[in-house]
Amino acid sequence: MLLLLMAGIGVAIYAKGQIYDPSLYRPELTALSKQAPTEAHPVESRTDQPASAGAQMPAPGVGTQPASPPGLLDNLAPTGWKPLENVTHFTADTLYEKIDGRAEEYLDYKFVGLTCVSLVNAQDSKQFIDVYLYDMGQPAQAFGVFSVERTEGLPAVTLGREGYRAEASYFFWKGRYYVQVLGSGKGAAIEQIGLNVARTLEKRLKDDGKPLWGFKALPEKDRIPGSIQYFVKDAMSLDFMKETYIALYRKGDAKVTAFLSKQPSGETAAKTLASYEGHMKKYGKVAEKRETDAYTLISADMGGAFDVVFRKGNLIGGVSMVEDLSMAEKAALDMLAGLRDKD
Amino acid sequence: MRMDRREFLKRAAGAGLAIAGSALGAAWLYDPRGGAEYFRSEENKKTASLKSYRVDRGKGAVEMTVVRGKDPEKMMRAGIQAMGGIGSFVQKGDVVLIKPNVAFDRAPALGATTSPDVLKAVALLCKKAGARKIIVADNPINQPEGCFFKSGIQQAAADVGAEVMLPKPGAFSLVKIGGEILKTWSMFHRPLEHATKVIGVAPCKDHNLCSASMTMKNWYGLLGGRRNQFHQQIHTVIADFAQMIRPTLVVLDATRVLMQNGPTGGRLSDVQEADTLVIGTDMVAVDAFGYTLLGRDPEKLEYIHKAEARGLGSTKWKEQNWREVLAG
Repeated sequence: MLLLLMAGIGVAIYAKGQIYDPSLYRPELTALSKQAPTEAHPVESRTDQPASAGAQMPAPGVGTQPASPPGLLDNLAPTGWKPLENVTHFTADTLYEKIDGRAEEYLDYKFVGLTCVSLVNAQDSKQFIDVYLYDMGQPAQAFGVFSVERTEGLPAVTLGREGYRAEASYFFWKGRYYVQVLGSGKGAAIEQIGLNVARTLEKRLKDDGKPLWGFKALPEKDRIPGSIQYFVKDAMSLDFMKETYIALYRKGDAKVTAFLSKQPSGETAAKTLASYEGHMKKYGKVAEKRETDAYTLISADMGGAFDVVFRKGNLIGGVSMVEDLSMAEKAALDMLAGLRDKD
Repeated sequence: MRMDRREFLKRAAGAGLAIAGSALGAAWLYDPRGGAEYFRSEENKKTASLKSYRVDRGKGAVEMTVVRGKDPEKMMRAGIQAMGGIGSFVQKGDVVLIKPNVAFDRAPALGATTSPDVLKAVALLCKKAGARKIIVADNPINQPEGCFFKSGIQQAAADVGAEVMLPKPGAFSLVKIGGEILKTWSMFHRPLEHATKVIGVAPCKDHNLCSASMTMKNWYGLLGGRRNQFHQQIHTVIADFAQMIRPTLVVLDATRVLMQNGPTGGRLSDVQEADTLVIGTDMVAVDAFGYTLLGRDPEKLEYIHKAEARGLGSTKWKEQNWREVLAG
């Protein structure tokens, strides 16, 4: 019996030894580990599934469950058009399968889910319209991703809270949704079809209509329409500027960039101001630092253009790269005055 | 229980044989290598390596041409002619793999994918050179059929009699890459197994994470598995691609350039008609030039400098033997 048991154990060890353990063959993850794995970016190897292409190619409509209410993209095809495939869904974990290389931007904006459908002209399969419905969870996130992708100078279209057109493609946001309706080419006919699809979908999307904080808080006077953007991080390419609204203002012949950020606390705002001051000292020369009971304001020459930043409570604001110091300070002080009324 | 001498000797001999058998078996199974080393070497037996697809054209050969024009077919012909003709790269009987970028289910006009007209122009030249077979392959993660259809690449391949090879299960193998981050990885390997020559045909476009997607980044499309994790160190990984594969030729399709909102695009307003093809044997040089078409400074494109530092090419395209050609 004992001998049989030993032989059995031996066979079991041998069999186990033949099984490949994929965890041993991961890429050099230490080289990748500057960013810790998160739920949205799990670091796992699929080398044990070299033929896992099947898993990479979900059959149409077989993706993960939608985050947004079902049916929003059903029956969108206008007369003479038909769905090319079933509606597909993507979550934060699978978004890269659809927009690999761009997914990270949406994840930064706390993306919840993407629902897509393709519509094709029944008479001409080269003509198609792709509809992307991004559920961003909150209106500010939907606006944010809409605003940072917007190309300057494109014609505005009355769609959702704000929309624009690029040839036969339409982009708008409404409520917690950011919508892209992408036409496959140019021409009046496909432009009209795209617009009809966008309008049909727009009517299905709910929105409480409550204005976003940044729209209320940034001064309205001289603001260039459609110029507001919302950055969850790296506003003005400054890694310490988070959750920041930016807008352009016309001051005479000059354009002025104004920014405003509501921080979680006065303490965080003070830290952000200190970082901004550090940036000014590193890349420019601080001209003035004014501290009152109500606010702190710092001006700096950034090499031919001026930045003015202020902190008031948990708010950080200011103007950036203004050619004239007095104009920059006046614009920043006007912003501060406006905040007294609104916040 | 009593045991006689004969019985005792029989049992002792049996036990001795069993112990000796176990010892011999253990000696046979014993492997002095550590566990991880053992498994690695076992796995290496199943891991493919990529051969070089480069051709030796001798010293003084033109390494890069920048072709300006409107007609991709004429442009390809003129550009290749300036490099010694297609016969310098593809010979009769070759199986040519053309690797376009078909990463997204976008219309060609949006500039997110390789132009079908440029793909056709490359394939026609290979046919003219007597290629036995032309394979067109890429591994778009989501619904390859839709990507090949909407990008127009499927139709373009059909028009010139090329075979579209889709990334079906079973077409992937572990491939030894030997890069800084990419050591061994699952790859869409079947088309490479068949090919005797490999030509990468990549669009020139903005990229959200690495600034630009051009000929080096194009090879990312052959990776399998959950490849988005490589975005964390994307410049090093792109440099690894230059180490991974030595193509016969690369073509940077800058007939349309996606200037912003890449790599997916979606707005025709983001696309600029640059009417340019860059053809070359040094991906680093081609990408260095290509970056200028995006209006950016190649000094600031990290991955080409990483590749150059590893001796995989040169960012100093002006110092190479290159030509500018006007065609069509």
